[in-house]
Amino acid sequence: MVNYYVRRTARVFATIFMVASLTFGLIRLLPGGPYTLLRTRLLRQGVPAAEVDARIANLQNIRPDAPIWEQYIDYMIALAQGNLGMSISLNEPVVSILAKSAPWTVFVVLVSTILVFVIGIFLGSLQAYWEGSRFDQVFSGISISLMSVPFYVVAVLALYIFAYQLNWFPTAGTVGRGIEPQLSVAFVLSALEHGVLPIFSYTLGAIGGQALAMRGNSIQVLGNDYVQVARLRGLSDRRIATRYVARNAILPMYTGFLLLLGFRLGGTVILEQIFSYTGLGYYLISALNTNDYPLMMGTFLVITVALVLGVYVADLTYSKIDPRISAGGSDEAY
Amino acid sequence: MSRTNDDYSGTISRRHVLRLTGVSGAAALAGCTGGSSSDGGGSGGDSSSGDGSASGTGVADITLTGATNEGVPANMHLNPMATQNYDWTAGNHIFERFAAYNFSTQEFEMAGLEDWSFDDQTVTLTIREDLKWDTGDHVTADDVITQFKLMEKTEATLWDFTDSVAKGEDDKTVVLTLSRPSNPEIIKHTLANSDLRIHGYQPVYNEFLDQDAAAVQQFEWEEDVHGNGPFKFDSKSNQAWTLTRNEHFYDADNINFSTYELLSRGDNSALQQGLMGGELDVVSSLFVPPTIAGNLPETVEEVTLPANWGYGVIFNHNDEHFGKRAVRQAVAHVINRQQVADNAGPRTKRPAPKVTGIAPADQESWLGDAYDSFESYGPNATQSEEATALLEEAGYSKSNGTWQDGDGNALGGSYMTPAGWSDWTTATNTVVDQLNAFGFDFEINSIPTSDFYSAYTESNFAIGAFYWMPGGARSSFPYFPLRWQLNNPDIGGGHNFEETEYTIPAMSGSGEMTINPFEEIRTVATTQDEAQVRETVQRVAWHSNQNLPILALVEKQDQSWLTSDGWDIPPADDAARGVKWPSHWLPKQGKLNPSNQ
Repeated sequence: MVNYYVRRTARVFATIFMVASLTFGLIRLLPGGPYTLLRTRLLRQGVPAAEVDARIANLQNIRPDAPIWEQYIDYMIALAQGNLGMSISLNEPVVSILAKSAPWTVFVVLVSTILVFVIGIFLGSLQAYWEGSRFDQVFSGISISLMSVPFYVVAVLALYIFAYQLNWFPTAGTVGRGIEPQLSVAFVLSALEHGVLPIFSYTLGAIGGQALAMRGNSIQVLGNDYVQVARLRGLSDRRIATRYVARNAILPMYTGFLLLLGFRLGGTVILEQIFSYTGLGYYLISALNTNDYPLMMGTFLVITVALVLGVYVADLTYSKIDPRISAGGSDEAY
Repeated sequence: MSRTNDDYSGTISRRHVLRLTGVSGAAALAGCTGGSSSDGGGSGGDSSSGDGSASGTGVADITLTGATNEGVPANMHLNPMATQNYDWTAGNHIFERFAAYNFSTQEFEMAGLEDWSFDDQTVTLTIREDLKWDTGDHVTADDVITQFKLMEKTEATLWDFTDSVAKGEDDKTVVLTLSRPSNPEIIKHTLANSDLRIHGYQPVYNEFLDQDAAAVQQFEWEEDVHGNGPFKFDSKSNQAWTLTRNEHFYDADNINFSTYELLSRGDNSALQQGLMGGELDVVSSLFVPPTIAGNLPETVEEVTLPANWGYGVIFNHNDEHFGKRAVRQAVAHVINRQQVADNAGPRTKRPAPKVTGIAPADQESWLGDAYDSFESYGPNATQSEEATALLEEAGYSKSNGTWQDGDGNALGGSYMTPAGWSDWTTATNTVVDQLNAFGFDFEINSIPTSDFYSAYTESNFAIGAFYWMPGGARSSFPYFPLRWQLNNPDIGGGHNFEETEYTIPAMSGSGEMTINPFEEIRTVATTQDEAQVRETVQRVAWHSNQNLPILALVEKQDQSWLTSDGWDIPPADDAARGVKWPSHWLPKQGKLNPSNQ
């Protein structure tokens, strides 16, 4: 048993190491270098080419391009020490950029994913409970429609209607201007106000999938012998629904929740771009545009680590939640 | 404009106006992706707050809202000498420029300078007597000298022809000693270049005089920022720059509002939406496609200004086919420039009247009587006959509808174009369609911007899309674009146009002439005689027209935006609109103020 936990933990580090190595290599296969966009920008700004070249040459003198193997070793050593390097484009430690941006992304993803599960499970249970009813038919249809609408379409429409047209919500940003980032009522309210549309967009489409999954699980559970037995025992519908059906139907969705959290962290790239929401995804795009390798690596790593940890926690805790699963062997959650 | 009190509560809100316009938004959404990366800007944001009190005599506590898409303001700074993360959209308000070029009058206008005079190898700059830092202290010759000395370290263009800089007879005079007699126009354009601002605040910059250039280029000026422009730095956040009226500015009386806010937005669509929804009052430069522009509220006014920049074709002169003048000329004859302009943007693109290295607006005035003798290459037609004759004479033949060389190799290959520059993609599609319809065999190779320049710099191409002028006010003086076409520093001369003598048809129409265009255009830099400059420009322009180092196709108009809803803006024929950018220039002229003030 202990051996299993050790192996599982070792595998987390091995996965992170491999992902770090792979992304390091892949990122450097991208065309152009870190200064190509800067050069283009300065040229378009009207700075004469010779002057641009002189400026960039000066930058390179400070941060010369070392051979790739040297960059790799340096990067890995620094990474082991928790140092993600300096952002080339922002001239700031990557860790501090991530520290500033990650909370916003985590906020949106966490709230959105919880909402997806709560609403999805609730709707799915009701659909299963009234299987075949008009309610079930209508909501199954709605769920399928929601699933087929990408979140970025919802985001663009929501932004246009609720922010630009109706003026109910701000059009961009994480908090209002002039609001100090400190734990105050004004700050929390402003953050919530700015988060409503991104969270709404990221939640709406995903609810359908979860509702249908929950509906399927519940119907499957409802057909089990022990539910029939419970009914024969004369237990109340409420007790059957909550203690017998819901518990067992939710069980397979537990790992899904943790995994989805990880996956959805990486999905905010487009969302944050649409809402000019300065989270991880926003900086990932900015890093991609500027070929800012350290910042790119940093954001990739955070997203990867979140996913790997999600799987890890799911693996370690699944047996606690479902005693039928004994830890070890092939009984991993994912 | 963001109103801070209820004075205007009786008027209809712009958002309401927008709601009434209804369908406009859908069109905006449809066009919101993939805007040309060469254009730019972004905006949006919250409503501003204020207590409604006036902050000074005749100054309303009102905010003019603009936008920046340079980056998140919290990550940006205000050191104009820095290589990275200087937000010029904010800096332009904070630091006054020396002078400016007016595209309407085609003349220079003084700004931070009171006067400039040119005498053989001496240039005397007189700083405005009333130009002050926002601390109330005078901007002195020593401030400017500190800045110029730092510019020497950073190899700024000014020092291409400057030998030394010294204080003049008083605290407001700076004397530049030139390394050789220089053409005043070149110096004027260098000093009036929009990125050159008066920013050498000595308490901050003096310490860099003893350090390497990299030190000042790495310096991020974020605290204790002091400028001399119409607005001063107040604060910055993730969302916006906040600038306030600088009461020490020499023309502060012209500005009747208290705050200038620049909202941070990531892409063009956010800016377009901001204009549409009334969130933004001004946008300095933003490409808006015709479908969206047509749906903007009536109060939004477009100001178009020549970009001195535009889509052209670049050849690798070492290529076995496109290195031949006849093939380049055939390409020029085949391309219908009007069609390219119509497809890529009828509102903002115009075909280059003559294919040469002079900005379209200046071609007639510089070429004079010679204008008509310049080959037009059919600006609105595909001249197949001329192209056929040229190719046949050069040894090519057409087989199965495709032009081939003597060995049977098809004339064509990969045509490079930058990915994501949406209007350029359309232009490239049109050009390649026209060329292939004539019998070339091209396929489009769309590459990311990050790789675009390096491919050209490494001469890893045969033919492709590239701008044919360097852009900016400087390109109004033909010396800059003509020279640029020859040595193309933007790609390190990767088009391999060799510095040598070329024999081309004579300008008179009979016989031939020999010209080393590099040598001749260089002489302009040191010639002070106007007639001689004109003659040289005409000769080099003629060479460009005949030998086609780069093929000029269309000229782009920059789009700048103002709103009249709540703001008084100058009429369309007001020459003050001709300085880039109106949102920077007009407030200090007293020509962009809140209505009813």
